[in-house]
Amino acid sequence: MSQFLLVLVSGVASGAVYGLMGLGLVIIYRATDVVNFAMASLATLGLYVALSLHDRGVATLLGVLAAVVITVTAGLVVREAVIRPLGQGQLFSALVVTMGVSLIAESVAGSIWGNQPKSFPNLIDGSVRWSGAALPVQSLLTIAVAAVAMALVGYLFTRTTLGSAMRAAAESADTARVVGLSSQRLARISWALGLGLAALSACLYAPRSGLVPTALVAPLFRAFAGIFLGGLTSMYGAVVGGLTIGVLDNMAANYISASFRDTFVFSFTVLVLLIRPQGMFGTRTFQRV
Amino acid sequence: MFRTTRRYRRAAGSLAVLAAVALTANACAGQDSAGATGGSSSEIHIGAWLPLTGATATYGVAEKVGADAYFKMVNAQGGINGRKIKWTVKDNAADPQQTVQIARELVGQDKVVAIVNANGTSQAEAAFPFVLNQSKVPVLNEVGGAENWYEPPRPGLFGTQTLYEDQAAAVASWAVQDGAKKILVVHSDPAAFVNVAKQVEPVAKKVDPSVRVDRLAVKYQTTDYTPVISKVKADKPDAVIVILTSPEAAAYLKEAKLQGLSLPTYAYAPVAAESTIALAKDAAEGLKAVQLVKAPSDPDPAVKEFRTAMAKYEPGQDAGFLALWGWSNAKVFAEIAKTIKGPVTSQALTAAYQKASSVDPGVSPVMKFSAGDHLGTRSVQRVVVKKGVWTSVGDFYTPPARD
Amino acid sequence: MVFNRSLLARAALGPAAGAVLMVFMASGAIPAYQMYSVGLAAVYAVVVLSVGLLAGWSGIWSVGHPAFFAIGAYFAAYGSGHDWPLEAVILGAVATGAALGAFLGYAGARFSVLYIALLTLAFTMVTLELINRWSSVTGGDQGVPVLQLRSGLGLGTVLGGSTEAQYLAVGAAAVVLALAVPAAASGLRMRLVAAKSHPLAARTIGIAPEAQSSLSFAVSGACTCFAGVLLGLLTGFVSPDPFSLNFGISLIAACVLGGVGTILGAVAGGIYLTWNPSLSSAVGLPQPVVQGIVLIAVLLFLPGGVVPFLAKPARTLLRRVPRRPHAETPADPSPNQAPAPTGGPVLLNLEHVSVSYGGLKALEDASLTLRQNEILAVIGPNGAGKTTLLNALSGLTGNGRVSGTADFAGRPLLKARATARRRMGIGRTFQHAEVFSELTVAENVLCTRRRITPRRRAEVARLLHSVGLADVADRRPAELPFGLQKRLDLARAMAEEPQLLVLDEPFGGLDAGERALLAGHIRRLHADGTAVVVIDHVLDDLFSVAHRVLAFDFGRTIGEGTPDTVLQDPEVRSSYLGSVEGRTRPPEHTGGRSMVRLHGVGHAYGGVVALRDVDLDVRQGVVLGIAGANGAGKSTLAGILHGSLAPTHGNRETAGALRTSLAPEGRALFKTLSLRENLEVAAYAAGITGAPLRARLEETMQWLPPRLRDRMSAPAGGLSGGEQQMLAIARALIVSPDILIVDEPALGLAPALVDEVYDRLSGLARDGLTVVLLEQLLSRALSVCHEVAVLHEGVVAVHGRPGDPAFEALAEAAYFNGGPTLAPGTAATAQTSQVN
Repeated sequence: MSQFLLVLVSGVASGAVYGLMGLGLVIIYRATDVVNFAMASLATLGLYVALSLHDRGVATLLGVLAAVVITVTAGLVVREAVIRPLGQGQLFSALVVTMGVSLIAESVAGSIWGNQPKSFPNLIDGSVRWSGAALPVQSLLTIAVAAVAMALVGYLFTRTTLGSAMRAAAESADTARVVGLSSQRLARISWALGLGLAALSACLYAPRSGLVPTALVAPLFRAFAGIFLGGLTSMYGAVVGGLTIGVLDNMAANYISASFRDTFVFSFTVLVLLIRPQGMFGTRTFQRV
Repeated sequence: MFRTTRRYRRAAGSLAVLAAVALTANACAGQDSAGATGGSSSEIHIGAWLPLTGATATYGVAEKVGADAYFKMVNAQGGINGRKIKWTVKDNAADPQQTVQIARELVGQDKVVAIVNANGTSQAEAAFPFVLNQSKVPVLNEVGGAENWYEPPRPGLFGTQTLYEDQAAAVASWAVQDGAKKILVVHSDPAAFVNVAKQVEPVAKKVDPSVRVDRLAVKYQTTDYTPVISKVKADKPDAVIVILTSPEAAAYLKEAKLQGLSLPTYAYAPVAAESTIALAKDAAEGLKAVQLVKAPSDPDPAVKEFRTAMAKYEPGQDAGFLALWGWSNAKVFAEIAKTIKGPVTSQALTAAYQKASSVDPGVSPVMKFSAGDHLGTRSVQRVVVKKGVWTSVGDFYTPPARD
Repeated sequence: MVFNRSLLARAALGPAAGAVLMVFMASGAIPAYQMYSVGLAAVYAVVVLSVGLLAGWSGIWSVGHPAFFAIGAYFAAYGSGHDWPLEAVILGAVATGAALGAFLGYAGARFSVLYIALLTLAFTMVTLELINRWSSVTGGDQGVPVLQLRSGLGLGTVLGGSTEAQYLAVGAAAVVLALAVPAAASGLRMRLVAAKSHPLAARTIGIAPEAQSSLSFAVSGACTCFAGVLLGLLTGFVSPDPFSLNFGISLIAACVLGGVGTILGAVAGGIYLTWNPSLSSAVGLPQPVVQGIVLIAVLLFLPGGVVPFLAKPARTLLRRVPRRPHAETPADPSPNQAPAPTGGPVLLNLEHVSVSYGGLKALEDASLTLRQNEILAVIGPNGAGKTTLLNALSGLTGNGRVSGTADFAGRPLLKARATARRRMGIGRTFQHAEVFSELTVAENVLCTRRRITPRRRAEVARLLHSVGLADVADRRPAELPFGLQKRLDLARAMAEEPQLLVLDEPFGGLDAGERALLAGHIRRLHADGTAVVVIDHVLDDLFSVAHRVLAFDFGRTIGEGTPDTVLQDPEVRSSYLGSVEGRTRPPEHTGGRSMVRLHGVGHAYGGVVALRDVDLDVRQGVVLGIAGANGAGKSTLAGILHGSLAPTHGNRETAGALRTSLAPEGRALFKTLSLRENLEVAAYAAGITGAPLRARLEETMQWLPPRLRDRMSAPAGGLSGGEQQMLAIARALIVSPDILIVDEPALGLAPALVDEVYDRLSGLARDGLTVVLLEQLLSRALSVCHEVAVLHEGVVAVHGRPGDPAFEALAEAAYFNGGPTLAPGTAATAQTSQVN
């Protein structure tokens, strides 16, 4: 039983990271129609900066803040420099451009900070004992921080006028223009928010995995699976999908077969999608002539 | 406005195409000029493919730095019998196809006399048909390799790296000698790890027939070791042998410490790296492992020479285990090349290797080659993490023979 | 498929180039160390071709091709280890690739582009995991050698990694590329591209997108598996390393670089993939950086790829001669007015057909009969259910529920799939000319056929000539003006000589000359024995071709008659003009200072002129009505008055800093947002925040009817049409506008609700707000406005005061005929005596 609990908690902790990252992806996708493949590698740049600061004796919390700021800045620069010139509605081109950005960012990180794995500090040390099992406080913190971040995002989108405006622009860019909303400004805010969430999730993930330039590729793929599972346009879907993937992944590794966990997770996702092509929470669009 | 944007785009497009053409032309030109300098009698031109980008860049970059330091030092001291060593390294991004392309360029265009100190098992294997069989150019001191490379010996293929299987044997006998009766092997799941993990049981039983050995497979590149540790706990072993990559081993150690699991833990050479300590921090304390070389911190004069040369020729680079591998391989090559009287050709190198019955690089075990044995050594160095530093324990050790 | 000479010549280019290359290789002109790379480039070219054609022709971007590539390579390795003949290995690999591809394509047809990417990603990950684990066959990560493959037909033995393998790779790639050339000219490609670029329109010409994507993925997968076998032989060793997701990304990069869907582009892509490492080392940058830069630069500066970019100037040069496509007029259409049919056999019989979407009934209990040799016009105001009727006929009702019965030529119609209706003999056109943008004009018509013979080509050429498109047959539709696109849409519908042609607003967006031409075509079709159902808002043109007219409103039939009589039906007339019993006219009001003034304003969308030469003056305190039939240009004018749409001609002047507010046509609420949020967002957009926002919100809520005030937290999507309209107006009001512009507030509302909305609008006007009302129903406009301008085909036909006794007749004439033709004498006075 205690093993089940351990597996469950660490699955939820991983799932919280995927969910947070997926939330960032969904926010950016809804606002600008860009599937931001470069999000993970931009967050990696932020992590390296945070680590450098930490090595110079800066408090970890400030480091996390720096990671968020760097990631957001890099993301906004990328958007203005190479995504916006593509024009509206270039779904595939934008995706491929972000792939290109991701290749460059990972390589640059490698050449500046080296390819050797580095350790990323825990935000908090220690563990909690519970019936023979030790839960790392870091895992619990991960879950808590992710939950708070998600709640804040939820508050922003449902309780504030800015959030309403962002939802409005995501629902219909044309109507938003008629009403007079500045779509560029909202798009920038969405990118900043999405990348900020990515950086935060990276800071939660890195202590466990260590830091190499490609450290965040694996959680990014899991986050992708999560948002497809949940429905590309649904923020709840991103969170629920990420959590599902995290828990499923751990359960599959532990109770089915460690060797076939990718097969299991992705087959499950594809099966769900074959039954519900729009994902669990996605909405179906109807084309009319 | 719209028109001008389009015109601008077209202009930029033309420019991009032109630039690409120019670069490609430049690339070809560059290759030609490189080709002209091959085969000179004042230098020994050798080459290598290394993963300088991609997933295994860690190995390639560090290895290159170590070997570069050695070759620079030797060249500064006048070279080998008056000949300077020119070592051409190309990035293969760990891709077999690129490796074949590089091999053909090195052999066909740069006219290297040998491939020395390259990296990758399957990558090298893809290049063997051309390099070894067709061109008769030797492949020397490759990092990686498998048992079937040396049994039977292949013409022109010589290795300096104790096989992973022998490393497993050394770890197994070490654990049993320390008194373990029930050993659990935690290993990653790709075949390269499985094959190594399988070697533990027979050797352990050979040393002490009453030992029990179990195996636990973990998905490659797992970061969450919580479930693994609880399984290890449930198994209640006396000792654990980890056949994992360095980051995986670090994740294992951290989680083990967190869950209060303190068992004697042994590992094979890839784990005995600085990155394991960097990642696991104090959870790595007391970890035992075997290595191909002495610890870089060793007071041995040969290792000291390495540290000095690194500081001088590759300042700012880590003088760690991986760099020392590169250094050691370069040194073995140079020591054997020294024995050649006359021009250093592919044939001469092959012959010299077969006659090199005892080469002592100092930092690694004495290499003993012969016509029937193309693998220089089966020995390892035992190392332990003490106060956050890998430290050599005793002298080189040869594990009991495997069946 | 037809092999004309030029096609054969182009198809021979591949093998010819391959042969030349092989001669070079044999003669030693290509250095030995580059031989492997040449072979590798050939293999990569095949893979890039597979990925690129799948993307270019079917719109499927696959990252699953590394897996297919791997499967082929491991087939070679396994076959070599078990002494299979070469042919068996190739056959096995190709069959496996085709089967897996067909499955992925079939499953993927249900998904959008991004979901297919995930599906194929999952396929790659699962395949790689299996390869790594199944080490008894694959050797796991250690890899397996490919020693040799012997031909079962006695054609010799290919050693792994040998020179013969290099020749084999080049030769095989040349053959595959050569096969791709006729495939590119075949009906298959056209149908694939048609299904990709407009799935819905494709269904109406009998193309089922699912089958197409399954087929193309199967072919693509098979080719890639074949390339995998070649790779195994070429390298002589197979391990999992090369088949990574990174390789999938590189493949996409190579496709994009060369030009998606072009054969030469695939070769360029293969070359790029092969020599990218050399390029990187020459530039001195790491491989991923070069790859990333190339990817971004190409997408930004050469979105079409390098090959099309270089080919374009060449093609323009060749095409200097026919410069203006517009000049041609088609062969003179046949007689002016077809004889009215005299009771031919019944072709189509609809009984009690209803279509509903969720709770909304788009078509209710429609019944009609159509005889062969008859042209039936269906009229009705916007939202009356006309297009839904056409969609029910052509099977494009989506997820709507269809009930009732319909017989077409004696067979039940409603149960037939959309793709089957083309075969039954029904063709249709679309309001916006939904042509296949990625095919040429000729291909747009050719793709209606599965097999393309010289006879078909000749037929299509004749057809295009008859509609006046012969000169532009090789152009893409996007290069043509809208009128020609509509002709193309018509030609495509006519291609298989259907028994019934369904035309959706064929006159909309055309100028007078084009409309006359079109009317001629419709008459000629009729003369050739085709029955026609046509809907449109341009009544005069419609009536000039129709034999019989059916009037619709609120999803049901309200009247029927000949073109001469139908408008005399009061119900039909009022559905257009409205009826206004019991509403009191507002008092005369000339208005204060000028708020917004338009001078010579015109607007065009692409080539379509929506508005021309409009002069308008909106005065303070006035309710200005702009009446016009659908398509007259009202919404365009609303956007220009609002300021959110910049006119292409003329200028707009405002009296100082002015806040205008628009309640757009169709309400355009944010349906997922609550009522309160809809209001807040509008205020936020105008820069009102904090306490002022709360105050404005409070005030605006008071304006709303109580039943809405109680539901401020409910999502706006759940409101009824009238309530939504109320909210839309409130959303426009919350910013305290100086001018309120309301576009078609009564659209789709029940009469009682229309009254409520208008009462509230009148209330606002009484309080002194300046209001511009855009209205489809003339009488309604006349009843509530101080001034009314009638818009007809983008021109203000008359402008005057409802109080003026002569104005009503004048306005009515202008509404239907564009000018006061009924009373030409009064026209001048009316035009000049407008407002002061």
